[in-house]
Amino acid sequence: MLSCTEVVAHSEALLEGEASLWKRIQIRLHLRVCEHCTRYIRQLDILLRSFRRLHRPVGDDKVEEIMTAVHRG
Amino acid sequence: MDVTTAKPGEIVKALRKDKEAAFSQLVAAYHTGMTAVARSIVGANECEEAVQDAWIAAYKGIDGFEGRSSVRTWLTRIVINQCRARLRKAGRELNVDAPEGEFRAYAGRFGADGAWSKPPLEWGHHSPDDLLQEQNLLDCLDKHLEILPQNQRLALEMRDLQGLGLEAISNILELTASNVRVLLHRARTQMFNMVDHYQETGEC
Repeated sequence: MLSCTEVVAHSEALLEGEASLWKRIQIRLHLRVCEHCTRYIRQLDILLRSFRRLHRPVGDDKVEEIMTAVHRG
Repeated sequence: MDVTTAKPGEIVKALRKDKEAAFSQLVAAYHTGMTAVARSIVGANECEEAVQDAWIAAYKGIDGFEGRSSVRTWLTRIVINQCRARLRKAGRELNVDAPEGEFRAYAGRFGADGAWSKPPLEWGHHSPDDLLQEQNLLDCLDKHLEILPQNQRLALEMRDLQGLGLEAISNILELTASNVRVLLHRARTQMFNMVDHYQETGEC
């Protein structure tokens, strides 16, 4: 059985779909009995998916300013 | 068309059909991300000018964009090249450092048996939408992104905020893929700890 530190070490590969089948099985077995690692991976997943939404689109004023610059450029 | 989810070929088609409209959509969608990349390299004072120059270069070169890479990757390359040019003018260079030194993820939070001794708290957020609703936490994320070391910030910005592939990031930053993975791990660990600390204390 993997230790918690080993699960943490492989958690990003798991979330990015890069973990091997065997590693995924080992992690799943660990998660069945470890609520701390289950919570860690669930919350890391939420955090990483949140990052993708941090950059908001800019408004029309900014777009217009840039388009004016590219036409002048 | 949503340029953030459209395939590169669809964006090429849209640009050929109506360059002004499609390019405006790219500006709206990617200006914030490009500014964040530029700020990591040339600093807050020069980043707006660097990004404007990047948009000018992108507009001039748009006919050469054939959709072989994602438009995000293409634009990121352009903004980084503009930043490199600015640094060169000032007699400096962009050298993104490979990760150095020992790093123990979550030091002090595991016992000798490798089990959590100080496990993560329950954050009470059930989705990204849920987490991003909390303005104080958002401000805190911004603040901590700013203070990450440059190499970690660039890796996290490109991978997790903009969704570039590892190979593209390695090429752009001139680092090995395994070094990029290490930088990402270090940056993510610090950001996770930050949120955990915020949940525990309510302080950034």
